[in-house]
Amino acid sequence: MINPSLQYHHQAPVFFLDRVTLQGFFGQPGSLLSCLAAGISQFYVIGWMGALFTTAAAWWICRSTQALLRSSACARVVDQHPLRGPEEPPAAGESESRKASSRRGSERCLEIQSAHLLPAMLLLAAQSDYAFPIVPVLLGLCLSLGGAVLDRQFRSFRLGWRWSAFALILILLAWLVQGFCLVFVGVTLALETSRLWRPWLQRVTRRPLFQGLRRHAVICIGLAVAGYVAMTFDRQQKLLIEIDLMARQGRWARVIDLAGELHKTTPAAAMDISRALFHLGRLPVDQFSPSLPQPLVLLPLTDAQLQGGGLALVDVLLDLGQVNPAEHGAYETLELQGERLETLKCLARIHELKHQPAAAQIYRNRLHKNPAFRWLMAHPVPSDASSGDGNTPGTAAYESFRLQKDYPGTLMQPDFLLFPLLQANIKNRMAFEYLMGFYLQTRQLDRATQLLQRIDELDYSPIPRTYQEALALFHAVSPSAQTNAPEPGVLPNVSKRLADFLAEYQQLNPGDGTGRRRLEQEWGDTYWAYYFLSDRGASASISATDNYQ
Amino acid sequence: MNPDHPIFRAAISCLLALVGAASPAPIDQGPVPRHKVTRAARIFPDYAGIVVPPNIAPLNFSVRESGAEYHITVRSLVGDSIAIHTRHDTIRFPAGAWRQLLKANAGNDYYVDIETRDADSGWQRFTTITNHIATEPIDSRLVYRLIRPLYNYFREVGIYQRDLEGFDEIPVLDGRSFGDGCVNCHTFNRNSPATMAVNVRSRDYGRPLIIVNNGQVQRIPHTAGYLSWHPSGELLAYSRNKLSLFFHTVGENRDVFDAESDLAIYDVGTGTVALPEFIADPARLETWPEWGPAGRFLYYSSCSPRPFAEFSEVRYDLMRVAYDHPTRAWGDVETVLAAAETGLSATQPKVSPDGRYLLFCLSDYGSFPVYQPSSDLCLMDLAAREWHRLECNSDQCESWHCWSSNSRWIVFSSKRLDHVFARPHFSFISPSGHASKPFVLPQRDPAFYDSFIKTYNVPQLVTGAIRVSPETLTEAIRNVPASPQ
Repeated sequence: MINPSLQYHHQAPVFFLDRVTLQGFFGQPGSLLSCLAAGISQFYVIGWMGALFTTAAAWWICRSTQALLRSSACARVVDQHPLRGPEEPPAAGESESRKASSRRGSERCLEIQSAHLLPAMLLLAAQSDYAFPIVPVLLGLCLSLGGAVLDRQFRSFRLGWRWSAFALILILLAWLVQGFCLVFVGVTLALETSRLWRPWLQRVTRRPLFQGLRRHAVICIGLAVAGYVAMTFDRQQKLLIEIDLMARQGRWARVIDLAGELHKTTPAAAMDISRALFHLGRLPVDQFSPSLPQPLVLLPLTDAQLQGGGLALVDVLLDLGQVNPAEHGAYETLELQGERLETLKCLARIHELKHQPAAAQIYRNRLHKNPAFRWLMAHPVPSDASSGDGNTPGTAAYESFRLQKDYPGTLMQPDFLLFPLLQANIKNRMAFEYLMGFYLQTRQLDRATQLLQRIDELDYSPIPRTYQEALALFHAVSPSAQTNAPEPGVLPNVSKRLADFLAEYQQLNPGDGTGRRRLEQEWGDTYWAYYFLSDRGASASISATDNYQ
Repeated sequence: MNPDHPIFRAAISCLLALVGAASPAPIDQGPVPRHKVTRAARIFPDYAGIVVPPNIAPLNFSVRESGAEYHITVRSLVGDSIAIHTRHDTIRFPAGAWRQLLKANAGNDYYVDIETRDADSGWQRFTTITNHIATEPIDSRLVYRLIRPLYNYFREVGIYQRDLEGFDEIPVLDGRSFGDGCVNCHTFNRNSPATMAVNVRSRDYGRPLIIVNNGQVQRIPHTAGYLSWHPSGELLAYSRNKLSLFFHTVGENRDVFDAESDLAIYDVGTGTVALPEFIADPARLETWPEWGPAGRFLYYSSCSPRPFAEFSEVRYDLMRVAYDHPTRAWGDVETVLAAAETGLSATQPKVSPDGRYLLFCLSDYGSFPVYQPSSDLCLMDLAAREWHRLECNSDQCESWHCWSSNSRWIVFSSKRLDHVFARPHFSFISPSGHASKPFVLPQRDPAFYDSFIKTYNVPQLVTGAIRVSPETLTEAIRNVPASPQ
């Protein structure tokens, strides 16, 4: 259920093995925890290693909690020998009596049996929303509880030594983990005062309710954790993160599989899905498919989509051949999200495409200062793209796609971005399909039909179904296009289906919700359903910016 | 700990090994060269054939030649040489020995001998690198803004001061200390760290101008544009611009269009603003103010406004207007360099502290040279009114230049290393107005620039450390006066 790689992809902190980064971490007390956590978090990129760390941390928290609970609530042999050091061997025959005493203690503290599982289990369960800063918390708790366990080892020392040890551990923890040292203080105080609250706890736990709970402690804890997971697990969030990761890795089929399970989408995910459809050659067919979260975003139509696009938008722009807008987007992402590996990788690629090898090398050098990236470079993830789907442009294709003419301005409107690309090279299939998709999405049938006049130059055979539906619709509804001659490229069955749809649609009462739903069910995969029945039109514009550096 | 403990002994051994790997060795331990290479070794940064100040930090470099061992000797006419024998290509000079060598040899050349040992061909010696040590020192601190290549948003923007005689860099003001704010256009009066002005933009605390005058920090509620101090410290000339960022689809991505701009004079003592009509002419755009060192002239860039569609036709003249500070009287406006003469746009005028030279940017068009790869530094002899492009230019952008207080050194931002990130470069300006080959700001780790993804913006030379703490400046920014009820 919890995939450490996804956790890494979603929330990995910035970490580089260089002086500047480490200085930034060590700038204030307590930042060592951030530094350690950031360093450890990098290994979450390797799923099994992340799982290993989480399990080890949970085990340590379990053990520490168990040790602390036992030492507070159970009889302790060391209490009988306050001046004995921990390394002093027991007197002859004493070992057996210590074991027996410990067993008696354990029997007396049944009320806390299995309680040590609770913190670790809840912490593990808390990862279910993929947004929990699990590494610093686990690490902070491990260290603080470790400190408390260590402190208990000094119980046999004289009071002065004990207090000295306590102060030393506290100072060390305060420097290491800052706020988490309160856990150490709290636990130690609780243990020191256990003589006061233990009788009360024993009285409470002798009540019938607790007697029942005591017998079924493991089951109760299991149910509590399961309940916690059920309440907090965010399946949609996991899907969104996974779609993002799969799109980064070029695993398009997986993106589409996951998209089918999404209930609501984000601009970045919608762009990833559109891009996956294109790379699978399905965009002209499935752009309006009801099995995918609608509406799909090809390129941002609103300021919110522009700002929410992030690297997904950058990838689309790069695939299209719009290197400068991609550079713009990548630098915005870098500034807003920090030095994430994907962003740095993307910038290295952009500067390579811009024939700036020195700048690209700077980003690659930066990446090499991250241990996770070095591992990823040594173990690349196979992608659909690398297996050659025929739609992913390589560097050579970029050279033929890239613009030679400057179009200065501030707008990121789809037609502003796409039209020049087609003017530069009509073979840019992605620009063609995206511009067609934009026209169809914004119901600009006249422009779509105009663009389709150049479809012969792109080797589509036959013309994709959605395009045929748009052509047939334009032919049917546009007064300027209504002639008796059939629209070239539109198969007869498409024209017939349109006639059937229009007949049904004309009989539909505007206020008839049931009829509308029935029509949507029957015709939902057609462009006509989107054109007539969907209210998800897209026409908002993106405002120009007036900021400057 | 017991010194015989194995862990203790292992730690000491490791420490000794580490220290030994990069420590300078006596010269007599050097290799015997067997093979001479008739070219200089490739080093980064390029510190070959340059003029250096006698007070600059060690010019550490990495040798970009393959080798299993490296032996570097730095020598000059007077005093001991510095020899480094190492297995790594990273060469770091000991600060004390470096300082002594430069100080004892000011005015002389110094030589860098590089020898490498290849597994196959044995030791080889490259042609000696010769650099010159100037007698004139450079101002001891460099103040700059560190930013990533920015577009519309910013998060990490800070002004830092760097000790040029060492490697210490400390923050002057970090934008994150007042809620992801922006700080820009830090300006000093005649290279003095005691008098500073800096613009601030913050969502939470407004857009104040912060003025530091001999330790006193003052918050002016409204930010200014490009700034320049009158030498008296009583006036600040500033520009009022209506700038917009726009983008290109090929080549350099970002560009700036200035739709409206005027100059204004802020009186620090009285808090009043004057808008003299000849520098705030609605029929002209005036920007980049710069007071001459005596305060008798205000230099600036000016042009006729054009619509955005003609942005590539916008070319600025260099102008100046006379000013008499005791009487506060303005004189005549004169054209120092007409765009019609050059066919280019002249911006960012900076007069040398001795008043002899005017250093400015010439670019194809526009008022914002930092986004113009065509931007070059040019030097005009103000007496003869003759100008030439400086020898320290590259095919990439040079801009944001600043003079040292003795008029012999300049610092400027150049994108020559990678075409994206601006790095501060220093060049010696001879009395006859010629520039030496520039060198990049030295770093403790010579590979520093290989992976540093921030740009050095507006490098300014100052004669000492800025004493006002970041906390004091932040407090002034946060001290927003209560609005009247």
